[in-house]
Amino acid sequence: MTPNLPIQLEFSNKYDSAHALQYFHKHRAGLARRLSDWRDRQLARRALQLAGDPGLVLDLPCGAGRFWPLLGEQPNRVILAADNSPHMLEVARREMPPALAGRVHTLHTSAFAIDLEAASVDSIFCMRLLHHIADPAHRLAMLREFHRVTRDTVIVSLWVDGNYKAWRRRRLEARRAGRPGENGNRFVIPAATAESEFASAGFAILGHHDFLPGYAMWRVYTLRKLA
Amino acid sequence: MADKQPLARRILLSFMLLTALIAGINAWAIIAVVHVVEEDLIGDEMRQEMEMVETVYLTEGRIPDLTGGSALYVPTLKAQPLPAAFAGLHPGYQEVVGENGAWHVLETSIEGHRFILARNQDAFEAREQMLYKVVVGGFLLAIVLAWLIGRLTVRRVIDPVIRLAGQVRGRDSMHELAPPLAPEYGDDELGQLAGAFDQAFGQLRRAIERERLFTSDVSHELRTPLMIVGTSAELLLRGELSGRARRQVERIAKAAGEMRALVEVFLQLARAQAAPAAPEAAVSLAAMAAEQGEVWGPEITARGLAFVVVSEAAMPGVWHATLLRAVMGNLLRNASHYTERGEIRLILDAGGFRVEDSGPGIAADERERLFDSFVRGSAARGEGLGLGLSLVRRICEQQGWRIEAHNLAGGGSCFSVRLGRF
Ligand SMILES: C[S@@+](CC[C@H](N)C(=O)[O-])C[C@H]1O[C@@H](n2cnc3c(N)ncnc32)[C@H](O)[C@@H]1O
Repeated sequence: MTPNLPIQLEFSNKYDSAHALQYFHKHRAGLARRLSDWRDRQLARRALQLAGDPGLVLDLPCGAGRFWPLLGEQPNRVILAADNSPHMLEVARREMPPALAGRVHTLHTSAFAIDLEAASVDSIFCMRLLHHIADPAHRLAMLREFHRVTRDTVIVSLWVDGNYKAWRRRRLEARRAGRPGENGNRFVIPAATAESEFASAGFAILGHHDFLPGYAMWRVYTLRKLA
Repeated sequence: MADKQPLARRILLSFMLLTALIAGINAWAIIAVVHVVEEDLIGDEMRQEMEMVETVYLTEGRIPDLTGGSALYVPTLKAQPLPAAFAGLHPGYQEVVGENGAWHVLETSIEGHRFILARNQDAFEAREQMLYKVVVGGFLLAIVLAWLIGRLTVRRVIDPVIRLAGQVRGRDSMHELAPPLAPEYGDDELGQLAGAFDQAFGQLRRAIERERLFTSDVSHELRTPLMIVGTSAELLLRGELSGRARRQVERIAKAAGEMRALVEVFLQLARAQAAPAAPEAAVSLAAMAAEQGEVWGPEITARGLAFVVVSEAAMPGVWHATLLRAVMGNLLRNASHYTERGEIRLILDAGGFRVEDSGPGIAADERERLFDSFVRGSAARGEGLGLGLSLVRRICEQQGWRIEAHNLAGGGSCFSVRLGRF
């Protein structure tokens, strides 16, 4: 397959070896992080349930494999784990719990041109990637690629508006207009925009779960592919 | 939702109908029994009351006053109008309906006098109303319960079936690592069904794999002899040949070349996954159009048709040369076969290319099956067209290209290929 015009994102390049290991430990340090990690997993669990407990899941991007134990909770499930960064994949493979060996298969691929055939997985599980993508055309390209590769459902997490954090973020940004912020590679996508993008990529929304309704920006959508 | 699940609806309906029937019979029986029993009881009560009246009358010679809602009529002893409804009484217990309500009536003859004891049914009726309410309430409650239990049963029984159907749909395209379905279901009928699906998909997968290997083996085996035919023909052409023999050998060389190209396409298609083209085998759309124009241009013009290459927009990127050549070449061959007069256009646009002709167009009923193997348009003629379009479709499927065919407004057909995933 010859992906013409491969989409490359600036932020994708930051996941080198050192960063990868750091990322692995990031979600294990401190009470707040652990709590948030716990809540992340809870949302993911609900989303998977809403998606009908898919059997073959593509975890993309898998990062350091943070969600593998959760995905492995269903004993029959097979996990295809993919990431753009070989370093991330290496760290993830090294730190993988032995109980999951044999059920996780890693794959080095970009989310914009997934190295899999059409309709080859039950569900694509995409945590914490969409909020890195600012350009609607890029988002649409990725969603369309998801539409091609999934047979049934897609689970995505992103930052949406309509909550306190997003409001405060917008105010902060307005104040230091022009200067790039510290979170220059993460973006809020208005919920209405996101939902219309899902629709134009050919998905129906099965439901969504908020990290902390009204306060936090994280939201997990469960989408079903329309024929 | 309910409309799409007739089975669930039927289960729910039969649950409720059955309950309605049973609860209905029950209610009717309760009311009937209560009615009979109550009548018996009232009859007994009135007989006792009458005995008391008789005792008092026989021992004390007077007619006692009654308490408790009963009225006593003795037409021959008491000056008191007898209600009209009591005209046709007969001795013994009976129910009488008059203008002011229904009555329980007991008539006895004591020493030649008619004693008539009457009791209005109103009080009794109020109790009966109450009873009806309870019975109807119970009936409705039973139906609501049946609905609830039915819903629960449907969820337990139908939902897993719906889930399994969802998992099976389109499963043939799934990655070979996909886990079997059966372990997710219990050791029951559904588990067996899931197991049967697993088995069927396994067989399908193995059959496809065998076919793939066979195609790949055959193509490999053909490569060498074709190579020999091709190079031998070329060697022959370098030597001294008479004009006639030269033309024949040229035809052999050309045919061998075409077969080799076809075998390369088969080999590519037989690969388990679409492999990216090696850099030397990648080609831009414009370059391929130029090459195919040179191959097909002379053939098409030789048939008295015009051939034009139009570049509406330049699409960047490179594609697998063998496969792009096969798609474009087959579409041009197809167009030239079906077109009698007019022109054939190869148009490059921003998303891919189109091949348009001024031929008879595609009949509506053929459009669906146009890309199926060995199905030709009804106006078919010439050879080797049956495989062409199905090959084109297979290549497009494997590469994630999209092909569609439609008729042009001014007559003729248009085959459009969108390169890239979408
Ligand atoms: C914020 S991490 C999220 C990882 C994981 N899902 C989680 O929540 O822990 C983002 C990951 O996306 C990967 N990534 C970045 N660009 C990508 C792309 N174009 N395709 C696939 N993965 C990409 C990075 O390598 C990194 O591992």
